[in-house]
Amino acid sequence: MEADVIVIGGGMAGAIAALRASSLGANVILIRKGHGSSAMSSGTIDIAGPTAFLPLDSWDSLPSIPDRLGEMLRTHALHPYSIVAGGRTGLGQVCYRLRQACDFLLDKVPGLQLDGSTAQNLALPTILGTVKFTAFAPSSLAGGNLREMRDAHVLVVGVRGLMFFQPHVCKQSLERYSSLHAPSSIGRVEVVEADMPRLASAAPATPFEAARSFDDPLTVEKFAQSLANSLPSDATHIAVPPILGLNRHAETYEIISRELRPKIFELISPTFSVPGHRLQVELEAALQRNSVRVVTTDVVDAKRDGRIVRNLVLEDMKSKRTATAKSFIIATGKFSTGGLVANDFPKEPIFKLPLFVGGKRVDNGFVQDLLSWNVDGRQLFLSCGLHIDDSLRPLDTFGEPAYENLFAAGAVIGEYDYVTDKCGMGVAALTGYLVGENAATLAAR
Amino acid sequence: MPHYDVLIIGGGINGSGIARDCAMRGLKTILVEKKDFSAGATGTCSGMIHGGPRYLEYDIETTRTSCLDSGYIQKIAPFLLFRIPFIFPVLKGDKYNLELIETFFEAYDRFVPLKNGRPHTRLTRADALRIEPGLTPNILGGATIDEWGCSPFRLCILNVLSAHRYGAEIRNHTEAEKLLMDEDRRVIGAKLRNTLTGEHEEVRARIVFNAGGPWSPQVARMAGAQVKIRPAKGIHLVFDRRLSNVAITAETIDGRSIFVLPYENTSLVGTTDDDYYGDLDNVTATRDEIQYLLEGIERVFPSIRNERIIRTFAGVRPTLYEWRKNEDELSREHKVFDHGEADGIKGLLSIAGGKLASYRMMSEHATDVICQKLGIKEKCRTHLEPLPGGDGEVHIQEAAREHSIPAFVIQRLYQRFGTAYTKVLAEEPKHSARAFVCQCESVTEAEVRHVIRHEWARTLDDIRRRTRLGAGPCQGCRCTLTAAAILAEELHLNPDGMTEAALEFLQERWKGKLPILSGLQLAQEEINRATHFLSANLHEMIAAKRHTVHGS
Repeated sequence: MEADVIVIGGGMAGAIAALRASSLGANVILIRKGHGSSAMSSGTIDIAGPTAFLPLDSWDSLPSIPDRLGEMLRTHALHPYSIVAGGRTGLGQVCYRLRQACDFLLDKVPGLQLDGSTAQNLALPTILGTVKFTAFAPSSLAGGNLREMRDAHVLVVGVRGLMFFQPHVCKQSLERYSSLHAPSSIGRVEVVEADMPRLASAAPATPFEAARSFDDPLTVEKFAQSLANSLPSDATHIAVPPILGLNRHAETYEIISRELRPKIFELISPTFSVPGHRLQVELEAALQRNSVRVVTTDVVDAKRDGRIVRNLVLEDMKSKRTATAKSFIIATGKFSTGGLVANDFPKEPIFKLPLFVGGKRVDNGFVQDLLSWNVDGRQLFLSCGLHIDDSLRPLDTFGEPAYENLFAAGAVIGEYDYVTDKCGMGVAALTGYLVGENAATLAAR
Repeated sequence: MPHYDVLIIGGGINGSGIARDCAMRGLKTILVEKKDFSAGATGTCSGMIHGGPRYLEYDIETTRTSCLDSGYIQKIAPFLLFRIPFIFPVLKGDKYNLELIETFFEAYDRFVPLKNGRPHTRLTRADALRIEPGLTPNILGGATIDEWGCSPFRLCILNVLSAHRYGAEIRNHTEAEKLLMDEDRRVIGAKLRNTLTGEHEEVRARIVFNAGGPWSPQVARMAGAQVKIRPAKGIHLVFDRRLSNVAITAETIDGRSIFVLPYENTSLVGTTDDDYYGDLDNVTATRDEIQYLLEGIERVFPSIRNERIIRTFAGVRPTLYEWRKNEDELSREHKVFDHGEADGIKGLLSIAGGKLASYRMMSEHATDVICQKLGIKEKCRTHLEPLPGGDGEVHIQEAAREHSIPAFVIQRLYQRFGTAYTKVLAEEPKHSARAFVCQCESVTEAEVRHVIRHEWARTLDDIRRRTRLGAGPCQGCRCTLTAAAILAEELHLNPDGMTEAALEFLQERWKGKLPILSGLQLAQEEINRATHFLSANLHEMIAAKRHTVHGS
């Protein structure tokens, strides 16, 4: 197996890196074990969310995305954003690069139908009625942007026979947003119950089962009609859990939006949510359209020659083979996707690169020592990862690029916590975009 | 102020058992527990109603009473108990050879019929490896013995339920803040505080019974009395899946006996036994203890280090006080303390020592003492009358067809609730008996609602004790928020209350995982964190709550 650029990892970072390298004329292979953590996400693109939310007087009191980026540059010198910015003064640079990366994403993966901007966060309600702040979201989710609502009368649809959704809890939490200064987003929240046409008599369904049944246009129409009959006349918005179609979501969302007068939107739902699956499917379709070869197998080792990576050793149930390229991109993610593994000590398994947190090396100590006693506190193990230079090449223990032709993107990079900083997909898209460029340029030389 | 015959402090297996016995003998009874039933020592035990062959050497009476009482427990709650066949592998260089082990178990066999167990068998090396291929090939042979397992949580709550049916007042999350005394140094009641609502109440009782387990010295001290125990910490490791076909015993480096035990969807490894001087409300496993157990198990079951540890749990045994002995050699006998005789504090009794397997007999003894004090002649019937749900058998396959619910779900409901499982299936709303909340442990929405409505569950951790919600490998990743929403709906909690419930549960789970987090479980934890604090954004709720608490 041979290519100009080999990308390891098939989540957001790996996909964008492969697409970018391919767009510059490189011949690209993407090797992955399975779905990346993007497929487990809620399907939104966080760039820099606020860290404190309530109490809110008005939406204007929330920091904009560039505000938050500036704050991160000031306080986290090793954050990937800071590396891309080239220091504290590089806010313009990182904003410009983020815009480029996001424009590229929107252009290459149009099926995601992303709404949003790199300037201001959307405020999207979750199935719990909390609000998730994010930069871009598929239009079916972005329709719930509370910042756009004015005294909205929101109907929360409780779908009978659907597991994991309690509409009254969602309503109660959402109502808190009516206390914002006038004009507030939420005027009134009500719950209506609806039946799933196909599932009315059958056993309760998981969100994925429900979404799959909504891939059928007839089911959607029936559901829309039964809902239309129970709508109060002054409702302005309809909130449903994210079940509007699994593989034919765009069509489903179009039908249901056409059938119902109020604006219908999907609520954000936690891990293993349908929109995360849709995101993964769209990324894979884009890879295929752009002639990136996707190989599903394990990378178990890398053959190195001084400061050059020569080839990768691939192994699956059936065979063992090697893959050669001019440049390599590691976008394997953190622990949940196997990019890092912990056997008491944390380790990067393919290139055995050193790992850092807070500027200190941590792959020679117990991973349990990186855990905080408070479950909701900052967890250092989630900031554990590679250090990178300004071309996004991983560093060795002396602070030098470990290999001249190896680049890193996404969560395998350390020194940021995508949970507290709310920047996971943003870092993935940005670093993926840049390493795609760097790796392709190097390969072309 | 309400007057009772007896106030029982402590809702572990002893407190619950005593409450049942007292209520059955017609005493006006109130049971208070500061946290939740079986949340202390009871809930952190190995979950075995075992005869304790270990005690044969130095404490034969404990073996006899354990076996006898274990037979009774089987009669009153047949649905709750399940057989655990044990293999005793013998390795070269072990303390005892196969002949000695067999002789030992021949002695144990005399007690085994008392608990309806099967006599031991001798295994050749080939037999042992056929039954349990995970054993090390280095074994010389082995022996089998037969024990009973049961959920200590269910056993405890069934006793509480039974006590309630006989008219006892039941309070969990209620702390006895102060003991009320008269000028005669007699304990006459207690001031209680609900730890969830902060409400106070005072109750009077003719006898105050201290069943605080490891906390009993603290309770007694409130009246100026003394309960002397030797608190001994024990930890368990919980592994994903059933790793072995049968339970296996192993020897630790210092010659103690430990085991790996398939339990529900998990395997348990335990246990340690060490003097404990730390905070009773915050007992956690240490890295040393974990390695000590793994080292012992690895010797007979070599793959243990490659398996996925989900979490640990740690508790403290209220063993009777003795100087000079090693922890392991301490007797498992129990004692009822009469503080009137010992400290001149009348109206107060305490219990300490003992083990889960003989809880019923201890409760009977304690209740006998109470009745004697109160001049009541009624006889104990707790070994004759079934616990709630123990009044019949169920054909699992037929029930599964009838309700069109997977047989596995029926089976686990039956094992928890006995014949009362039909009440769980009948919970509103319709279909909730078929909607899963916790997929790892197949806990349904109906079950969650049932234990909130009928079994005093007030927090997610309470629900976990009664149903095993969140006890599987994902450790609350997929069930916490759903269960919190159901709890909020049932108890009319506002969003803050719901967040707090979810967060408390996550924190409690987290505490048990911290010492072992590595490998796959660490990967899982990354997902859990993203689920709760990124996608669902619980941080927002927490921030809002802090504002309402501190701001207004």
